[in-house]
This record gives sequence, C-alpha cells and structure tokens, in this order.
Amino acid sequence: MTARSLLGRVLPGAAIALALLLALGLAACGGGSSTASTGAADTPQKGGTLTLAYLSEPSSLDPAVAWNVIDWQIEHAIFESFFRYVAKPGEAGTQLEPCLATEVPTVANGGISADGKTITIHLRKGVMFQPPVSREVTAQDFKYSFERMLRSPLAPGTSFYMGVVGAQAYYDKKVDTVKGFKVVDPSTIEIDLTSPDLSFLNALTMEFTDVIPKEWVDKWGKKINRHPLGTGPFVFDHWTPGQEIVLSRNPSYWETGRPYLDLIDYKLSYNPSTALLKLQQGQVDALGDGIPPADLARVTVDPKWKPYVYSQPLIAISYVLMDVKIKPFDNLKVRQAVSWAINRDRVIKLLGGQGTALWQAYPEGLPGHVPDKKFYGYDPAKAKALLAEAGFPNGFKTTYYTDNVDPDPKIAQSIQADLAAVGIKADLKTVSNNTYYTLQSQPGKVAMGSFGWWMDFPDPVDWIIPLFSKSNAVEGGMNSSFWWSPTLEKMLVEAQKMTDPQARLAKYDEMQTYIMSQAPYATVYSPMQTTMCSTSTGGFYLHPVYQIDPGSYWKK
Amino acid sequence: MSDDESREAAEQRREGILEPEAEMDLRPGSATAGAELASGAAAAGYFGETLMIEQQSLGGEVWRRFRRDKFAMIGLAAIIIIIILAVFAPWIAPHDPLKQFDEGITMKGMPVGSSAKFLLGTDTLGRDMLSRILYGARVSLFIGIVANGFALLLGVVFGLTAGYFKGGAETLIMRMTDVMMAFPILLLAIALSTTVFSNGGVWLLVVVITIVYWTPMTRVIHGEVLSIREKEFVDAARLTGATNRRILFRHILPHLVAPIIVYTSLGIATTIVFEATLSYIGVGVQPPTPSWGQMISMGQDYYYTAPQLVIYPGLAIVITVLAFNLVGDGLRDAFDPQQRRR
Repeated sequence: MTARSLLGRVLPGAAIALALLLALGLAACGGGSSTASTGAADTPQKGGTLTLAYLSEPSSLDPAVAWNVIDWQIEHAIFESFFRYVAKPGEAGTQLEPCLATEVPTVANGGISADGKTITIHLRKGVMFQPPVSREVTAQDFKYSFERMLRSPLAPGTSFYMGVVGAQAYYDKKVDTVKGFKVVDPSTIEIDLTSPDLSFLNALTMEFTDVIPKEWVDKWGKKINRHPLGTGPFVFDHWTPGQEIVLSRNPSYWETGRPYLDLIDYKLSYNPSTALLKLQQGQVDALGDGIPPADLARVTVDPKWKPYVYSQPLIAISYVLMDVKIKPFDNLKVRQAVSWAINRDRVIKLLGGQGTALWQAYPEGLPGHVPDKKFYGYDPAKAKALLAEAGFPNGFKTTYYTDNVDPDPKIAQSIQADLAAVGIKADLKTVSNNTYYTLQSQPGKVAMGSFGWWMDFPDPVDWIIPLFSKSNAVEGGMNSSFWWSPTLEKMLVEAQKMTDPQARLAKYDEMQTYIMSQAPYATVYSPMQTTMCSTSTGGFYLHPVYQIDPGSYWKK
Repeated sequence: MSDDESREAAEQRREGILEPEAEMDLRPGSATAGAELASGAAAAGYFGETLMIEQQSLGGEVWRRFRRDKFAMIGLAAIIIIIILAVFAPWIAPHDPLKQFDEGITMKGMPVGSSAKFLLGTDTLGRDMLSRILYGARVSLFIGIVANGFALLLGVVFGLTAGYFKGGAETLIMRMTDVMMAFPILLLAIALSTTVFSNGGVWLLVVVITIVYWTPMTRVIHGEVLSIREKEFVDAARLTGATNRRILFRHILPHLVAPIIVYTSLGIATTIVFEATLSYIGVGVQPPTPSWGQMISMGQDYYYTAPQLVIYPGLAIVITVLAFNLVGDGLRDAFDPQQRRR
C-alpha cells in the first residue's frame, strides 16, 4: 500500500508485512490485558461500537483502484477474496489462510500443478453477498471482479496479474475475456499462468481481487468508489465526507460467531494529537495513525496507558522522491548527490529512534534486504562534487513537499537543511495529506518530497512493480519519481518467471543494485508503527499486513 | 507656473492671519510654525499664559501628554528594546538559528529544556530557541512595519483622493474597499498565498498583508478628509486660489498625521498577529526562516510534553503586540485629549 509520507501517511497502501515483527514483537507494549483484567474480560463479547481515528480520508473504496493505507484498512473490513493473512501479530500474521476459498492451493493438495502454471481454487459454498444484494457468491463473480479490475481506469495494480494467460490481451482490449481465468463450475476456478510465479498467491490476496457483485457495480456506475459492497464481516453504512465512515455488522456473515462488533466508526480528519486526547477521554478506541511522536515519551511512561501501547516495525520505507520529469532530476548525478547529502542518522534521532536508517531500497523484513548494506552514506563533500560534475557547482533551487503531520514537517526541515548544506535551496511546501497525495500522483508537479511505501505482501516484487516499474510511472500510479528503465523492466520479467526461490531472490538483489545506482529515490528510513487502544477494547493487536483488524477486536 | 507661485506666496501671507486661531490646537505644521509664533508673539498681551502652551509644536505637546501615560511609556520602552534586539540579533543571538545541535535533541527525539547553552531550550529540530525568537523578531517587525508602510501609502493616496475629490473617484475607491472588506480576510490571504504568490517568502507576505490592510486605512483617511475639507481654513485656502495639490498636501495632510500615527501603531500590532496566523497555518513565512507563528505551529503537537515550544514564541507575540497597542492607545489619547477626558 501506499504509505504515507515519511512516517506513515504516505500513500496508501497496503499492508505490510510481516515478518519482522517477530523479533521485535510487540515491543513497547505489554499486551493490554495483563493487570486488571480477568479471564472473562479476555473472552470476546458481542456488540458495541469501535471508534477509530484517522487524519486523512480514503481516496476511494473501490477495490480495483484504491491503494492507500487507509483505503485498504477499511476495505479489509468490507471485502474479501480467496485468501487472507492469519489474524495474528508478528510472523504468524504473514501466513496465508483460506477465506472464500476452502484451502490454500499447494502442489501437495493438488491446487498447484507440478509445473506451477495452473492454480485451482475451490470456493466456499453458501457465502452470500452483503445485503441488499444478498445472493450467493459464485465463481463467475470472481471472474467478473478480476476482469473489471483489469480494465478500471487508473487501476494501479494490474501489472501484478499480467502473468495470467490472456490478461495482457484483455487489458489491451483485444479480447473480451481473460482466457486464463476459467470458471470450471460455480465453485471452482482455474487460473493459468504463462510462467510459474512464486508471488502469485500473495498477489491474489491483495484487495484488488476482492469479489464485488456486478449488479451493484452497474447500479452505482462511477459512484461505486463511495458505495462498497462485498462479503466481509462489516457492511458499509454511510460516508460523510470529512467526518466519518460507518460500517455495521454483516448479519449474514459466513464465519460463525464473527464479527464481534455491531458498528465501526472511522472518524476522519482527526489530528493524531487530538485523537490521542479523545482516546484518553474514552471517545476513541484506537489510533489509526499511531501515537504522535510528541506524545510518545509521555504515554510510554504513564503506568495507566503503557499497557495499551502497541508497536511493530513496519516493513516500509520512507524516502525522498525526485520527479525525473522535472529538471534537474533527470540528471543521474543530481539524484545521487541528493542521496549522499541526507543525514539519515539525524532523522532517526529526530524520530526518537522510532525507525531504522536505510541506505537501500528493500527494508528490513522484506526478502531481498541485505543486512547492513549501504549503497550511499552521509557525505556532503561527495554530494557537492557530484553536483559540480552535473553542472551545478553552485547548487540550484527547487521545491520540497511534505504533509503537515508531525514528524514529517520537522524531518522535511532537517532534509531541507541537509540539501542547503550542499547548495540545493529547496523551498518547503507543507500541505495537507490529501492535497499532497493528489499532487504527487501527477507527473511533473512535485519536484521533491517525502513519501513512503508499506508492504502489501512479503516479496520484493511488491517493491519493484509499484515503485520502480513503467506501469506505475503514470498518473495514479505509485512510482512517484516517475523513473523507470527498460533494463529493469527486462529484469523484472525474467525474475518473475524463475521457479528457484534462491535464484529469483538473487535476481531481485541484482535489481536493487541497479536501482540504487540510478537513485530514483533517496531512501531514508524504515518507520516503526506505534499505536494505542482504549481501555475498553478487547483483542487488540497490530497485524503485520493489515495493521488494524477490527474484525478481531471487541468491546469490553 | 509663475502665476501659481505668486498665488502661493499670497496665500502664505494670508495663512499667518487667517489660520492660527482656528487651528492652533491641532496643527502640526512645523513649516508654518514661524508664522504662528510670530503672530502668537504679537498677541502675547492678550492671551497670557495660555499662549505659552500653544506655542509648543504639536509634537512637543503630544509628547508631553504621552509621557504622562505610564503604560504607553512601558510599551514604548518595550518596542525600543525589541527593535534593538531584532536589529542586532546576529550579534546578540547565542547561536545560528538554523543550526541543528546533536545535543539539542534527547534520545527520545524530544527538544531539551533550558540550560546554560540553550537559555530557552531547543525546538523540535534541536535548534536554539532563544536565537530563533530573536531572529523571528526581525521577521515580525519587518513585515509589521513594511507592510503597514505600504498599506499606509495606499490608504493615504486612495483616502485623500476619495475624500477630497469625491465624485466618481470616491465611488470607485470606496466601493472597492467595500468589496475588499466583504472578503473574509484570512481566506483572501490564504488564496493569495497559495495561488498568485505561491512561492512564499517574506516579501510576498508583505504584499498579501498590504493588499488586505490598505482598505481600513483608506476608510479612516477618507472619513477624516471628508470632515476636514469642509473646514473654514480649507475654504479660505481655496479662496486665495490655492491649487488642489497645495490644499491636499499643505492644509489637509498635516491634519491626518494624528490618525495616521495612531492607526499605524495599532496596525503594526494587528499585522504581527496576522503574520503569525498565516505562518501558523503554513502559508506565511516558510521554513527555515524563523517566524513566531511558524514556531508555534511546529511546537503545538508538543504542548503536553514540551509546552515551552509554544509558550516562548507566544509570549514574544503577546509582548510585542501589547507594546504596540499600548503605544497606539497612548498616542491616540495624546493627540486627542478631548476624547480622553470623555
């Protein structure tokens, strides 16, 4: 998903990953219920309203299009697809489990053919779409949803699925159906791939493949982005722009006993500091944007609140984008100079250690990450020399964008000072989140800016396609520097065909080396996610992919 | 031209006779002070002691009254100190306001409090707070004074034109001020700052504030001129054949000094708050240039854990604005003792 700007608000995105958690686990927290609660309080209870606070508003709730963090967090409560990640914190949360399918296909259970090119998925029977559609989901609905996504205007995720036989031809409008996505019978789907793809099941778990009924899409037309309807535990109730989105319990949900809550109230435009105050007053149950850095030191030492603080390292990167469509960032040496100019250790200091400095494209926890590898460092003299070579011995003027939520403005100012030290005079533009997303998604608008990417699934292809591919270097795509290269495109195609995990990973390593030499972004750090729940929230945890998982929470 | 000159000469001669009685009290006009003194001296026998007071120039008289106002004097002293601090900030400030100190940030990423090295602590980036406040004073005062200067210039030109010539010019100018004043000021400023002047910077802020603040000044001047132009001494000047230019600049403008000074000193206070407001919401002075409003904006998230981030720049604004307001009030009273007694 896209992340947010430096700390987390960047783009949208999706989710993150996983693995890491393990080690750090719930670092700061102690798992809420320790002291006062009795066993009874740990038993899920039905009913109640969970209030979640966010600063920004979803760009869309159309699963074919939306890719921001908040979009997916809400979609995950409404929509479902074949599989999902196990509802547990840490590494366990990165394992796939069946959702609308009856099992996760493997070679062993016959779901994946011996050559890896055919995947057979059996669907759970009796799953109903949410009211008012209220009819049984069939294999045809999945095929419809998949094809609809491929042809949705501005759909950013299509390149994950081009390995399906006939997907490209369908995308190009040369044929009327995706040949490789077959409805065998109403509860069986067979997907043919042009070549084996080790990350394909993960790609099928992204919200892009969520099942959505055709009659509902036809009914709402373009307004479907504000009228989501799927099979998930919660039904969309209403969306008051700038205020709130409310979901209610799905009365016909297929998973017995779930969900626990009656209502979820997503409060929009709550500043993180305000949200924290309201949480402490009992008006908010969890902080969607985390604990503001300014208050972290306070709540983590407060015995009353410390048990309700939860933390996990995000598999995510925060970086400085440089739009190569704006001069002088078309110049490789200028981009490299920027990468050498930034004092990442100071950024981590400003974050109070809530992050890890990063000099490579893959964050810790993502397969492909090379421990301790530094493609760049902090060397203003070298940056100046590169600028001189590039023809800017006296630097140049540019504009640097950031959103307005702590700590992003202060990190942007720190980077602005670093740039000034090597002669790059950047005017700082501090804008609201939504304005920033809109601006940066258009080529040629934002010369430099803070941005980020959160993992959708644990595979480096989730870095290469959104951030560095040609397919995303377009309006609405996630490649916010708009840099791409034929060399990398070729390597990506080769890597995706590889069936030997080791060789494939080696290829991704090669790709990272190439990308870093081209410096389309200056990677800065990997953030920690630290948030808090109210004293009346039960079952709270942070999921490595979904982060917030209201389907598993309850009210005490 | 020669015709004009002779008329002026004739007029000057008459001025000494016609004007003093009516205008002694309010006229600043040091240019004609000689004539007044001369006639005053001649009349000494009649007026006795009263004359001693009226002999003083308006400036002296105002200063005498102003001096008696303790609050105004405190305000004046504060302004002088602030101006000195601002002007000499590069020599007075203990540190470079842009330098980020490693020791200015704690392990938890928080600003540090007061210490020998950082008298008022540091900000969220580890920069010295005191130095930033001193440099911020330069920005606030510069914008306050310069923007008011421009607003004043426009206000006087438009106000004089509208009030003196009336007719179409008056209608046009005053309806323009109506339109400008009907705009929500903040919204207008934000719109201007984010569109036409989107590159920020102190000068652009000056332009925005000037555009917003010339209208009240124009109205004040217009109102004053409307009443002054009906006074006998203006009629008299006109009778003697004085040109419009001469009447405007020699007879009417000097009477506007009082409202101009009072209004400007109050206006500077308003402007400083306005600048802080714009910087606070992010459309004013852009980082890294320190400005008080922007410092409050940066520090507001820390009001629980490091309230000094908001308190110090907030105090700086309060003190400065209060000082200008006290002086403005004091001047108003000094210029217009009748009103004060009321």
